[in-house]
Amino acid sequence: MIESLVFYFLAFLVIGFAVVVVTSRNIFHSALALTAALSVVAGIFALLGADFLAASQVLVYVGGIMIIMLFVVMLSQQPTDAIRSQSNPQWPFALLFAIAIAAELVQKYRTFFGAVEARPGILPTSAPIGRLLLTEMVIPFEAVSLVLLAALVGAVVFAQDRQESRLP
Amino acid sequence: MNDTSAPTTAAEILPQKPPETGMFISLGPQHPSTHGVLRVAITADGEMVTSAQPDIGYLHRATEKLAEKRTYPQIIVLTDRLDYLAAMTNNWSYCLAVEKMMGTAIPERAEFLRIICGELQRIASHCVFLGTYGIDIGAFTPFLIAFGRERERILDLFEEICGARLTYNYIRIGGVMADSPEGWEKKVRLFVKEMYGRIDEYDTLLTFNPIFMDRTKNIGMMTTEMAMAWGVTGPNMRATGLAADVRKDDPYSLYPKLTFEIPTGKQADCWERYWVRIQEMRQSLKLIEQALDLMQPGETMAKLPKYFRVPAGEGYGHLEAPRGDLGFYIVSDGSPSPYRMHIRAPSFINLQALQQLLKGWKVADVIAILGSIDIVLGEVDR
Amino acid sequence: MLELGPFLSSMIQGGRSWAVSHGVPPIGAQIAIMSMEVGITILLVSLVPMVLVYAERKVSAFMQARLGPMEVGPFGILQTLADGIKLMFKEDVIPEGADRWVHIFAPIIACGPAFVCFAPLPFGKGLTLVDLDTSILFIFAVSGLSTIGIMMGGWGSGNKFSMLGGIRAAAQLVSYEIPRVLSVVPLLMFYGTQSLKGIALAQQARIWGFFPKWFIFYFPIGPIAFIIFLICSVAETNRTPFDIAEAESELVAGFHTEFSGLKFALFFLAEYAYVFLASAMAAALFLGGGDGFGIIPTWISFLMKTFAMSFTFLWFRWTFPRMRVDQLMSFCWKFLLPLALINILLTGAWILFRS
Repeated sequence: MIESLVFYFLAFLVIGFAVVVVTSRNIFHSALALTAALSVVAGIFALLGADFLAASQVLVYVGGIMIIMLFVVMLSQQPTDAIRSQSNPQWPFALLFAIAIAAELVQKYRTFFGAVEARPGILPTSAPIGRLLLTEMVIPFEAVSLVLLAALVGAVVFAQDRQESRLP
Repeated sequence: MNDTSAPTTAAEILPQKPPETGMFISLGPQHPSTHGVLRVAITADGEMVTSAQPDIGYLHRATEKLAEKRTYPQIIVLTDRLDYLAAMTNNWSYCLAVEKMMGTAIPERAEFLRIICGELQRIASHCVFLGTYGIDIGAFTPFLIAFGRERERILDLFEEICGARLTYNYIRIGGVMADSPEGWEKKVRLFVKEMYGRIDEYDTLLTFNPIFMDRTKNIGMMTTEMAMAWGVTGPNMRATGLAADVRKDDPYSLYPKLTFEIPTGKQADCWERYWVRIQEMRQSLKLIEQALDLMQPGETMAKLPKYFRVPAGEGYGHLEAPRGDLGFYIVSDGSPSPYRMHIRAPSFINLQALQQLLKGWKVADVIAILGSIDIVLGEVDR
Repeated sequence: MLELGPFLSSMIQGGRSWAVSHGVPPIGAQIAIMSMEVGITILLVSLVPMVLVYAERKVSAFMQARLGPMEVGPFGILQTLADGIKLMFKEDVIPEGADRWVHIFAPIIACGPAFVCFAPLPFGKGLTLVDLDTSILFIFAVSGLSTIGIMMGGWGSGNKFSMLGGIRAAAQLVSYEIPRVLSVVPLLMFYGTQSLKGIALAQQARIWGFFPKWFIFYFPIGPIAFIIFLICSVAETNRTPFDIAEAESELVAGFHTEFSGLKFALFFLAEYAYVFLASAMAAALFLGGGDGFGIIPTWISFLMKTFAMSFTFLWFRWTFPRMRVDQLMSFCWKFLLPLALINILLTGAWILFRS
């Protein structure tokens, strides 16, 4: 009873912050709202008893990625950003499309996860996750890391190209 | 440096608008690390300094003009206010010029007292440099140790001998104001003995600190040729490897009687400029000890008439001040006050080298380089 | 024995049964007790910075041939209190160009996580508020939130110096977070747990009956991990020699230039809370936690180790110059990070040979 109350409260917060992310004119505010939304998602994880996942969510998304994002915003702020419109004339169609997808997802999740029982009590999750990552899931895990590595190399290449073209 | 394209007007020298490429930084005049009211107009391309122009004059008090309206003994008070961290050597340099013009013979005891006070002043001045340089680099403790402990002791000694702590007016034309009080020499001896250990302490605290060396080694190098072209003197010059010291090159007072070495560097990076000063403090201690040994009781003031006139003509007296070659050039027309007085201020001349010195270094190094030149704005602006 | 933990827990149990027997519903008693525990922790977290500020003033004073505060109370022990009261009554200035709400929330977000991080600290036998299974990860994750507060302070002040300070702080904190987390990985591998309490308890054993099995004594992995952790912790708290974010000779005061009154106090509180947190973590992870050789009560032993570590922090601050930004970064990425990775490799080899 209390748990579902807390869940709805957190879910409401997530959606609220997500709306701020897309509607705020100030890009720094958007980034902050995204940070808050991601932190609240960590709260939902914690509510589900996934302590490792919650901590990694905060550590990676909030402590790492969002800080880099804020960093970029601070470095590249433009005065015009605050007056520029946040949407283009096609936004009603986009909204319709988004609602359609949301409805689809809700419907599918209902049939898919409807039978799954929530596990009672909180058990340590880090050991099973670690075991899974190194046994069953090792190939997807490594594949993901390869993708990330490729992205990293790509970023370095792009950054370097720019530097060289600036040289006389 | 005499190329015709050099900027001449103030507007050219000091860009008020941001440059086309890169960034314009106006460092000062209220910046905490400019050691007074100095403004340095810096243009930077990314992290690299492309040009740097010191903008001076915020502390101008027209000392040279004021001197034309005062009698010769009255001018000594003005000289106190030039390099306010080394007022003793200012007094001394001015008196040297006047004494040279009048041909006054100075009693031996007065000369030794001058040497002792001058060298103590050098230590006190270098203590301030050490402390403020530490703050520039981010170390706060050396400031309070060097400034608040050792310099304070020296100022106490000065207070005892002349009653003032900053503007001494102690060295007068023809000698010194007063003989040292009872027991003063003993106190100086005690201080000198302790000071050797204190300098070793500075070495452990700051000089050989790896972070400090990282920040200052191989940064802001100066060649001997460059230093000569800009007229740089003092520790900044000696750090380039040239043992230029007025005490040896153009001996004054009783320095020829004393033995001391001139510490020099090799490549004049920030660290060597600092290191030369630290070693100079040790040499000064040696000089004080020798002077104390040789000093005999006697007169401290030459016999001069109460109202004297300086014969018409011109004279130049210079000495090795803590910041370099400090000279007073006086033209007299025989009246009670000089016709014209010019001060060769080492800080002013050393500061000019900054334009070339800062070029090509990182913006983050600017403060390290500026601090290592060791300027006093009172002397730069006069 | 002067153990505080059993005494406190028996008192709390007693109070609870007394309340329940007097007609209070069990859940109400539970909530009351939990809020009491939280209250004690918050009180501790707010008291610790006061002690540390006073210690910093006195330590720096003695290092600098001064006396430090002497006027307020005997030896000036009430000085911090007086300063706190003064800060509370100061005008709260919000600059005109500031981003108002960001400016207001910045100190709260910088300070709040510091309080939360104290929950899983093992202060001694029975003195862990929340014994989380992933407490180390939890502390690293939550303390990372403070960086957001610092960046908000830098952005929200509408001041170039604050902005630069915020940017520098962010770059530095994110970079040093990585070797800091990696420096703790050998411990997790070694003890097979992520719980601070578990690691601290595992170190209370003895080699040959007397030599403590603290992790720092496992040469070479222990000392290397400890040194990396220590250096990164100093960097994480923005203190000299890594205080480029608030370098007063370059950036006035960095991200907290425009903050006054209570907001400034909150930033201040956060800094010292993190110093204490880092010291406590170092004590629990490397120095055997509450291991007091069976003579000293565990909580006293733990606090002694923590304050000794805090003294090291103060010592660093008052004797080291500041590093340059690029030196700072290359030190992190080119020295600390590879060292931390090598240390993990060494630990792996150690565990492999041990088994």
